[in-house]
Amino acid sequence: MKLTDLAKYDQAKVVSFEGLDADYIRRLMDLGIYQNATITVLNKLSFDRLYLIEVDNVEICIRRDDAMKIEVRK
Amino acid sequence: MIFLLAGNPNVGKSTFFNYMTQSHVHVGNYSGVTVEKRVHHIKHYDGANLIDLPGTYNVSPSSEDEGVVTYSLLNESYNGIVNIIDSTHLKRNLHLTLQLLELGAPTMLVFNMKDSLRNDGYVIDTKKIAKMMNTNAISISARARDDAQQMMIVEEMKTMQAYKAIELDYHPIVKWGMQRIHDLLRYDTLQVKKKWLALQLLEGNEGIYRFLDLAKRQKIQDVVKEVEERIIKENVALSLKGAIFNTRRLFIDQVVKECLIQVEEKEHSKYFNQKIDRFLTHPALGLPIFFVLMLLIYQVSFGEFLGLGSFLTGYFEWFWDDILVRYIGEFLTLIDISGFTYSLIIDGIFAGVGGVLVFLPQIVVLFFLLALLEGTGYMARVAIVMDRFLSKFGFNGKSIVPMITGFGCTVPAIMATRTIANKKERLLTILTLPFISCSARLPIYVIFISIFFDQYRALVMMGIYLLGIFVTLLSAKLFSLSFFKGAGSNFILEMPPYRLPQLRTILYQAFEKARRFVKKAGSFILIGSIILWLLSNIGPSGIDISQEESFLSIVSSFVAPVFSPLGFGNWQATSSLVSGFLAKEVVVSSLEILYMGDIAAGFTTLSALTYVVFASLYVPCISAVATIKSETASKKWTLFSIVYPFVVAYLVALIVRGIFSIIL
Repeated sequence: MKLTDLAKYDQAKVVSFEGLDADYIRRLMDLGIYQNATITVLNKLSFDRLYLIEVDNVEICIRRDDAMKIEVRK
Repeated sequence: MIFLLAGNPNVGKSTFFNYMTQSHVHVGNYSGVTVEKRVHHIKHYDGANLIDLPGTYNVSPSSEDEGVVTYSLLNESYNGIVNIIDSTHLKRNLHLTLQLLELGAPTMLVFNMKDSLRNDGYVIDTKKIAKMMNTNAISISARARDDAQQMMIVEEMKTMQAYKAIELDYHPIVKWGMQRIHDLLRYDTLQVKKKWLALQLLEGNEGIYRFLDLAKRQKIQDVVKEVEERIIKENVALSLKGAIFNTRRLFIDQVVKECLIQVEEKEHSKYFNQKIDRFLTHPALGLPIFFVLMLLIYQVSFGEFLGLGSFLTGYFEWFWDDILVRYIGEFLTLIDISGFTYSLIIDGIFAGVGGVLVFLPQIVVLFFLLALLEGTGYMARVAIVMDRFLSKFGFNGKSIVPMITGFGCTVPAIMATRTIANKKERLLTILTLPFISCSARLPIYVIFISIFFDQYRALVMMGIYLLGIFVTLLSAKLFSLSFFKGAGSNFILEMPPYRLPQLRTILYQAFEKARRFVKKAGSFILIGSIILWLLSNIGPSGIDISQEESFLSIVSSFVAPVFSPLGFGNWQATSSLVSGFLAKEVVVSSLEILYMGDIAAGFTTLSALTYVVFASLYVPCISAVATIKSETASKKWTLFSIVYPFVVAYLVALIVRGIFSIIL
């Protein structure tokens, strides 16, 4: 399932990235978002256009367009 | 003794650096990159210096401060590395730590923010962590700033020694690659361990290739490629970098599990954050809240009512004109300096530099208030609110902070773009920022509006500001479709928790920015003022001449016809624009001087309008250009930042003239 399929406060593990550029993946990695990382959707902001997610106690905001390219499993 | 200070961004590295050191040794530049290198003496440690490295998540370069950390580890001579770590974000911070420990150099881990961690209900078992990672470790709170703790850190530093480098159990394919690269580097003499280099090369650290010869480079790249292919083919990870990352993360998870100890059950503050976020990032309320806050900040910085900035400027002007300039003038007369030299010093240097420094109090107030907002964590929320709108033009949500700063002064605005990690978006923001009307252009508008458009003050003023914003957005759109394709498509924002900002930190930030402003603006304006004054007071027939015979007049008369289509093709108007390159406020003072106080006589209503429009958009001032040069490190873009606005200003002024020649 996609990260965008998760509801608020859902927890999931990252499986893979589909169609994100290498630079972006690298920055996600710097913040701790990578394969097997456990993420929690904390909030959906700005008409659900932005996703506030938590990983390793850090809160990160990404766009829905990018969140759609992150494959997760519950 | 030399120690390197390394750590992730935003872990209190600067606070720690200032806390540990006292006197300033020197500020240099790393070769090849435009990042300042700060070296200071360590307090209570004779003969020991600390070098501040740029904050980074990785040893291998990815952002603007590219390569500095790699470069320093490879070339700097040092006795040890101090790695500062945010205790509240251990998992993320330890990735850099592992990369440093793999190096095998004497390293000390400083776990900062001990008090925040304790507030969350946790402590770190530093003894255990030191043992697991085979290094020195200490837990501190750099904010506390007490001397006893500082000395304790120094004592710990004195015991640092080279332990055996940490060796993680990487995947066999990675190990195989490391061995092969290690073999290729067999005969090279390098300061660091070859195993470490091999691993860094596999991870994609491009910075290392610089130090290797070309033939070897190709061979190594072939190995990296082969390893990457095998990793993906055998489903080890999504990429080679990912495979290395995963091994490190497993180890880190183990360390955190054993060394981070919960001592008290605490309710998480996340939910409090979200309650505030619901209002501040609200789709409908977010924007109005932001605008009201900004209006308040501008009112306090630049306005009359509640105007702290204007109030301080009054005192500054009094000090500058009535004390400094007056007594220096009297002193010059006393030692018998008069005429040409006297005029150069008083009317050239002091008038020129003073004209810009007079804005300093207002700018310090603006910086202070913006730093205050930043410190509370609110600015990250603004980036969220603005992202939807700004991304349509190729900007990043984070571009909003530089843009707001740009209404005050373009120089700090350009410096504020450093927080934008994406290179394209950063460059795009830098190049379009000068179109936002900075406060130095305000005197130009005020003087022309009061002479020519008195009935329509607010309307014309608003029109000029909106025109500036419109040109900024349009240019950004244009750039994002051409030079910077794909800009505005990425957005990752770390959301800091709301917190009470520390006055000391904010004051420090505000004054640090003010210092840069004075330094950058000061040096250029000083030189520029001297040149301008000399050019307008020396001519082919010598000194002490009327201004019409000066070099400035002669050169400007030659250029002036360029502006004839815009309706102000005379040498006075042209000279003023040229001198405005030094600093925009100089345009007004030049006009006053060159028209002998009667600007109204030199313009028609229409030419006044086109002049204001042109002056609001044309080339950035020299301080801004210098900042663009140092921030982009590119001659090409610096040149572009001068030529492009000139062309745009000319075209827009021409259009405005065309439209209003029918109405007026």
